Amino acid sequence: MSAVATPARERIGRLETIWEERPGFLGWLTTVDHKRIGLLFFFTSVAFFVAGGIEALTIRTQLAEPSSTVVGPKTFNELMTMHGTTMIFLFVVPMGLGAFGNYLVPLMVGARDLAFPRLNALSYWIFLASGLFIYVGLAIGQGPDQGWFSYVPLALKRFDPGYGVDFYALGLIFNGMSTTATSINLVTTIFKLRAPGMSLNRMPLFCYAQLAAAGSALFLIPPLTVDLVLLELQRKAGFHFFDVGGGGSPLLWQHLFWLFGHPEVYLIVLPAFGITTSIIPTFAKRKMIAAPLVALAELLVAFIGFGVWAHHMFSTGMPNSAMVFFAAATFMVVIPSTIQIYAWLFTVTLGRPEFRTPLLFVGAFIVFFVIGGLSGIMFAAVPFDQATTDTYFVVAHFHFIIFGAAVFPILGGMFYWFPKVTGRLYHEGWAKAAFWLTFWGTALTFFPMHIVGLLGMPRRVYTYPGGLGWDAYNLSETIGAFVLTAGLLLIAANLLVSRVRGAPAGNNPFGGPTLEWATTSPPPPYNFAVIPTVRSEYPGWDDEALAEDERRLRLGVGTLEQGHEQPETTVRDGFADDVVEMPSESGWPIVIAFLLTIVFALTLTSHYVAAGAFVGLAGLAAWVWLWKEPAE
Amino acid sequence: MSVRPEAVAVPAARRSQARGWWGVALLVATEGTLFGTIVGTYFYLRFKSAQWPPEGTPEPAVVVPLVLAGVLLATSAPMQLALAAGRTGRARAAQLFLLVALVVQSGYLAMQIHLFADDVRAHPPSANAYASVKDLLLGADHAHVAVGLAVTLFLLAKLADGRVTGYRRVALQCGAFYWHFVNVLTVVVTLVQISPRLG
Amino acid sequence: MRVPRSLPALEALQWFGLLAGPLAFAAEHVIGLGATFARCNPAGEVLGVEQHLYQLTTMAVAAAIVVAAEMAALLAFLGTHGLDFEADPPPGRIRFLATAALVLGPILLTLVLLSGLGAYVHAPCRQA
Repeated sequence: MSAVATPARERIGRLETIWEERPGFLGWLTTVDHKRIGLLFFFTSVAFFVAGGIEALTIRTQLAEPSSTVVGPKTFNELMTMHGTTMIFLFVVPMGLGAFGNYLVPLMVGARDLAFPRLNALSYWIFLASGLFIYVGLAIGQGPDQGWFSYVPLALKRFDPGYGVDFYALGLIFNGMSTTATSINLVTTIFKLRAPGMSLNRMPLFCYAQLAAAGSALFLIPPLTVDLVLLELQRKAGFHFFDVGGGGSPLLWQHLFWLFGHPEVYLIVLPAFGITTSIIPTFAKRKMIAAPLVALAELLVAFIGFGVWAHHMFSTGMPNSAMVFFAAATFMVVIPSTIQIYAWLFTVTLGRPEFRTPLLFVGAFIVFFVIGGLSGIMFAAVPFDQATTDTYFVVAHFHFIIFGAAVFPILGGMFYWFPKVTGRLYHEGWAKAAFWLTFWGTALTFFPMHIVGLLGMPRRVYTYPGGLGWDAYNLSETIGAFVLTAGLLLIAANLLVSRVRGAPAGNNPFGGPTLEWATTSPPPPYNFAVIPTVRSEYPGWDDEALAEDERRLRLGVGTLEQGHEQPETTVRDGFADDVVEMPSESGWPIVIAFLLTIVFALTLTSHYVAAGAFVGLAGLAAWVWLWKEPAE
Repeated sequence: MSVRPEAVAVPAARRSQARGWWGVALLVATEGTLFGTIVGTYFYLRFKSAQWPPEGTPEPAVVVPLVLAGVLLATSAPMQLALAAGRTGRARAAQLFLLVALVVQSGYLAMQIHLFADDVRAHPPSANAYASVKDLLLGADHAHVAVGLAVTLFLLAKLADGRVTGYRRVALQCGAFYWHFVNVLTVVVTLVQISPRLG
Repeated sequence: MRVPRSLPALEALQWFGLLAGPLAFAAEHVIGLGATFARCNPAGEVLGVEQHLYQLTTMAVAAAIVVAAEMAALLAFLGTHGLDFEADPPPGRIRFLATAALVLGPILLTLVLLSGLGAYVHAPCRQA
């Protein structure tokens, strides 16, 4: 590399100066860089995954043998509740949207940051605070124990008088603010900040998946928020929503919960679809077959997913003429997913596949997703559902989907983008070994659950009597859980060691077609020295466009080095519309998250006036935050 | 091969809405869903009751709520006029319209809080599901109006130095959008509130 | 029917084709469920909800809209004949989204008919 100052190098130097943030620990507290915030989300989600995993291993240890006394029923209930709550709200959703979405969407659309960088930071700090809030309850012996879906009347004060349910409810209302903020950010970025030339037909399918996920979050969080508010109003202020005596209905809780809960599982799996749809073209070395259909399938599965919620309530005694709407929608919601599976399989078969670790994880994902999807569609038949509801057959189904179909692509994505984020290659041999360990561990843990469920084992039991034919299956599942854990630990070890000792990766070690591969590894704070030229859906494979970008960098066309600049484009066709000034680092997000934590803590302890005062303070902080204007 | 896009050669006038507008639009979508859920809850509980409101709870008033909702809806006019003035750089005119809006919005909220406090004292929400869901719906609406007051105040303060910058133009757009949403929402909430008298 | 070539017409057909069907299904779903909940609860007697009338009417209207949307998507697809999915916008984008919209018709029509006819066939309010 020459030390002579070329025009390109000078421009890069200017951009570095404009976009650099303060160094050290303080820099992480005030960062608004989507990549750093994405990493914060990533590591925090992993920490919660470890917590949820320890809860799972304890559950499995208790259930390894009949009539076991490793943990008692109350502790078991807490573990079971926290495992579900942690894995869904504090791991898989923040990982999908906050980590992968945050880090990759701006890079893939050719932008320099998300649409609202400071809101992004606020979203992270609220996520961290809400997770810690719920765990404080567990730590002080007031852990939630009413199950992750918290059915009434069990969750009402009469039957669960401690603070556990309140930590859960208020913590999740708090957490919902983070998801909502991230979703507004992702959707606006995808609509407005795509590089000029990136019309909707040239947007990466990963971004369609993120759009579907974030877009649906905006509509699924409110029903949960309302449900939790109703619960807390009833618990703390004696309102009547769920008790028949007061004119309420216990089923109201379930309707609102599943109105949230079912779309939530599509929110969980859509980022995984996006990761899969990114990995396959790279390693199959061909464009995705039927790309418009895949894009549509991603949006449609989220949309129809809003119409199936009461399939979680088929055994509650509702009329047939209502259930049929949900049965019909549940049967049809599988079609978009099937379209995607065929598109993926055809793309791999018709390409020249290179079975490196990311593609192996994607292959496993397809296997697990098909199995989990088949058990899912079985539930669409009301009679079958009524026979298997609340058995381990259900537990098998959703673990195949959440672990098999959401976590496996996340693991594959970790390997795939590791070189981009760290600038180093992972060790391929050890990665493949870890993959097989994880794959067989997963199969051994969750497949026997189908059988033991059909043999009648109910879910959420802290123990079971011997001699019912369940013992061997439970023991296998526990063994499988430890094998799976070994696989995950090997993955972590590989990535940690490779972080320090891995070979240099270069910009595009796998030959990926999307824009994140067209910049350095790791990307600089400003992502792209020149705003990319986009003329196809696979700009990373468009050598003419890449050469064009080099030329424009030398000439200073589209480098936007006058300030913290970013182009805005039109929604449908990506025509350049404006150049906007992006905000730089700020301490207000962490301050506001802190103030809101106090609001929730005061509400938990029924100090409503004080809580209101802190709401006012948070509002004041927001006022000061918004007061400062960007340079014109 | 395709035509080379004019990378970041931007047109003189914007073709589409700014990021800020989209942020508010998406906020409207999510908050609208929130209220849709509460309204759905209201009718779910209503369908489950033979008598609504239940025995011992008075039927809702019709005239006062409708008049108040109409008054608030009318504030969409000064808010939109403030936006129009801001777009053409007339800061003082924008401030005047915002002030008119603020006075009416504050008066509306003060009246509503007074009525709400009286109602809650006489017929507490903990009496039955009807009172619970009605008071939740109204309380949520008043809270959104209160946030709107802060928005109007912010816009007034921002224009105090008599200049309309690009940032302030977008801020006016966002503020007006938010208020139109709250006003329409209030009409919907009022119709739900008086619905037992309409059936 | 003549295949339109003008950009505004193709644009309108593409968006109608993409959005009308899902919205019609959503409306049928909400109205159909609402009719059942109203009829099969105490309010049913008071409000006099004619469940099957609501459900069959919304099914018919929704089905008609889904079919119309499919026709619109087809016209937009044919009107952009010869274009690659990655072609320059707006025509390339219209081609892409119209292709996507074509898939909606069969799926949503099946859904709408299954729900509506299913609801009609079942005795009202009989517990599942």
